Amino acid sequence: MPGTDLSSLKKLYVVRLPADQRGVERLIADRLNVMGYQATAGEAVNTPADIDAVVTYQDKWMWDITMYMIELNVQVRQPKTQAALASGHSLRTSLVRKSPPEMVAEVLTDLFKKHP
Amino acid sequence: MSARNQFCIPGLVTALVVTALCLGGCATATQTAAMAPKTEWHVNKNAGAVTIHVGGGSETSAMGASKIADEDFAKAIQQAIADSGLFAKSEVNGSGDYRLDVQIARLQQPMFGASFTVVLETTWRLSRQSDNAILWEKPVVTNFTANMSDAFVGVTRLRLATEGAARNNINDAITQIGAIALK
Repeated sequence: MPGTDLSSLKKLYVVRLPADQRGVERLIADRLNVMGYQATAGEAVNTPADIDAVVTYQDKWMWDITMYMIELNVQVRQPKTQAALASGHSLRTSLVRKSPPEMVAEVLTDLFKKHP
Repeated sequence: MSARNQFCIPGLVTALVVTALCLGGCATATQTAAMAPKTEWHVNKNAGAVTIHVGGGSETSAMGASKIADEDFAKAIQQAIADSGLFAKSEVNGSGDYRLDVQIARLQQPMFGASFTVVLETTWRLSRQSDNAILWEKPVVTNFTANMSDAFVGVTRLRLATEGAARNNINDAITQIGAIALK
């Protein structure tokens, strides 16, 4: 949400996208831990009761000689209402592709920079 | 025909066709006017002023897909508020008695297909500036499908679907806000 302050968030839970078989939720949780948050990841039904926010994502992949992540969207949501507090996005076509961990870092850095 | 012309003319024609295809295939940004709903509004009208703030949008890259920019979405919301009379006055990133925050949370766009269905998820929050009381907050998810009959060129079809999803989103939210009695 414009002007939302995310600095009070400490415990985050990354919900695995059901169609994702590449472990992107783990990449997001790992990056959040590096950024100083207490992040875990797993299925939606296992969402802990004591978290400050839920993190969701949508990844899109393309093939160009090899498979690569072309787009990543990430949302930080209120745990009870699922209302989106903030969102981040990265789109990288084949010639400027980055690895999934780099895409995750790019999106999360931008997301939290806009909502310090 | 000389050997040189045998290759030059077809080569020139090919280059022109490729250029035309490239230009026809470049994405353009969603338009404010196309995102503002054209409907008969039935809302509770308020005498106060509202300031509109939008976040989470992105600029459109010519080589990518049509995206929704914060400013364009905000202006479309402003247009809807003006057309409906929901508030007597509205400003984008200005001041007012009320504040309307909208977060563009998710824009789901297909990459291939004869028909494109775009899904847009936003979160809307209306608060009163005097005491920061949240009067209304809700996620709004809408979609729109553009078919081959709407546009043959894929990037245009995608832009139309994106504008349609945005238009439906604004329509839904303004209608819901217009149903509550603000104090």
